Amino acid sequence: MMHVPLGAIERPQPTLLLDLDMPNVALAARPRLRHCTLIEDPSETATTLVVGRDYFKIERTGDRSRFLHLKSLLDGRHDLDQLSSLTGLSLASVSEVVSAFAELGLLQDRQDAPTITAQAFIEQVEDSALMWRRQIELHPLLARLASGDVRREVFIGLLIETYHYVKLLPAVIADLVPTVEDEHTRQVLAHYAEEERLHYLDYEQALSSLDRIGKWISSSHPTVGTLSLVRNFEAVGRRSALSLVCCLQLIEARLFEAPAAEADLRTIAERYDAEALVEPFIQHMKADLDMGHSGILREALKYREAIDADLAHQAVNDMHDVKHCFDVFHDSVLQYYGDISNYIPRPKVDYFAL
Amino acid sequence: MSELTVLVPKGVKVQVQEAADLSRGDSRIPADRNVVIVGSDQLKVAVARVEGAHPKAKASVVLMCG
Repeated sequence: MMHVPLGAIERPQPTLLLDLDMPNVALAARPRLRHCTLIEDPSETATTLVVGRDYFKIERTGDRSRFLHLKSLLDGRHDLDQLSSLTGLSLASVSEVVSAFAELGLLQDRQDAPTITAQAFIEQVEDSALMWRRQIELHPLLARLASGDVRREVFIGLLIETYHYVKLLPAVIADLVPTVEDEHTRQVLAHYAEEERLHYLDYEQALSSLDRIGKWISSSHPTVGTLSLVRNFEAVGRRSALSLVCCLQLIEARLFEAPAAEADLRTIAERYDAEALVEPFIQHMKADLDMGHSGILREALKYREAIDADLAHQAVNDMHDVKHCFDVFHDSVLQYYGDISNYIPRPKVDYFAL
Repeated sequence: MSELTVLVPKGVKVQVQEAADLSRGDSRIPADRNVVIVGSDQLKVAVARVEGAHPKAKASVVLMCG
């Protein structure tokens, strides 16, 4: 065995960090990480960070919880000294991590411009929509359905709640159309709502074939997760047509996503002996792709050269909220349909039920 | 280098991680080092853009298209 004198090993002194061959990146006084998704494999020290369409691998040496604590403070509210004192990490370590993020353009570059070009806005929103769609897919409900460790009612519940959502949302959009000021956007939304209006009937017909519960589908009531999703769309659309269009961009599948999505759904359906039930869901996706629904943002903005920055900020914040509504939607399916004591499908509560 | 012996004060917890390449391509590791010691107040990261295969959810969402 070879003994290595301690003096021959690098000691944990902050000055050593200055030896790192890091580029001279000018750090923001209060660094703020760009909006991202962290994907962590518990068995690895590496973390994947997703920003829009871009993926980054973060290899870490040091304590995981301190790294995540530091990440949680990269919100533009803390300077480097505060980041160091709050995390217990040395100032040199904090500077090094922030420099590494800055070098790859992962810190926010905030500008005061009153407008954003429409083309830049479209591209950014399309990229962020993809990022958030990937994030929605990481919900435990979908992983558990894929591995088959939840009961069949949970999958049926996901189909029922999707039916409610597909039934309710076009009606909400149609109600909002007259409130939209811009004529072209109003036409785009009216056209979209009309094309989506009757899709729910195919879902209803398929689900009506379910043994014993099928006849109660059309009179059933959504879970609160589904209602929250639809009502959030309504609240967003009542405030801003741009926000509504961005949120619709979030929910529409892209052509390149379709094959894997169809295959995954068919695999889950086969596991739960529900192949016929998912057919209208798949046909709906294909029909939407054929009608170009995933290009709704481009279509709505095709005559616009610039977007007011405040409206743009509001729109992406609304998209982010709707993304989290999908997490709640999936939580709700897992909780309600996973409980063996719950009524399926969910009935309305009327006065005489009290 | 196949083995190392590390002496530390009693009570110090030691974690050992293997890195794929200690000599280059990893910004956590200075070019002239072959051992890196990181104390509890230190954090070193290497961030790199990844092309190609990405972590993927176990099932895609087909149901949310409205």
